[in-house]
Amino acid sequence: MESKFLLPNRCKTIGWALLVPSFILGILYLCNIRFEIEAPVFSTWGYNDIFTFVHKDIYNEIVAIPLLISLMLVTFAREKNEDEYISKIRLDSLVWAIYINYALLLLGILFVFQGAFYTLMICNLFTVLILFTIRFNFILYINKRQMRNEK
Amino acid sequence: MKNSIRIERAIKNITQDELARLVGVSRQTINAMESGKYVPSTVLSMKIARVFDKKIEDIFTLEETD
Repeated sequence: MESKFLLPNRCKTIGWALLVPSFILGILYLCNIRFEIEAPVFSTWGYNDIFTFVHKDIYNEIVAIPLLISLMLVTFAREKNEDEYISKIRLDSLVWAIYINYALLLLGILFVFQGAFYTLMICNLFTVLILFTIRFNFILYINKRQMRNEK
Repeated sequence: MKNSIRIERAIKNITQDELARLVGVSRQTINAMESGKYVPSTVLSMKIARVFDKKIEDIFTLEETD
């Protein structure tokens, strides 16, 4: 009954190994601890010309891409013993994460403005995956702890 | 839906882990079914019934709220 869209289990280890440093870099980025790395990039949209090469600071890309990839790997890697109950926890966690994510966004739209809103939108790109990961792993942890008491 | 997996397991004298391996799911799933947190799919119910050599209705029963 498990989903055919999940990644192999080994992606989870790779994902966590990549997530820890990228998450730290992400937090530092939010705290304004940033480095400038200039490089030529192909821009499809955003500068005066469309489909053009521009020279720009690519540090935000360097932080965001590994963070996004590692979160995707951690979120969508199959559990070692993925079965129908774990798939149910996965689905419930996904629904829960989307609710909370958009509830937070709604509060942000209501009460956060200007530059802070831009920061919030950047965080919001990742929070749905972060919320899912927290909830899914928390439920698995609770279940495992309960199981220790039984034979 | 109620089930008597825990009782059947005691009669057959097998652990949650052994039953999990026999039906090809995680031990978490067996535990969740026994504590009424999870209603298994038809396939899994039939596999469990087969392990205990019983009919599905002997192990799984509907409740009034179902």
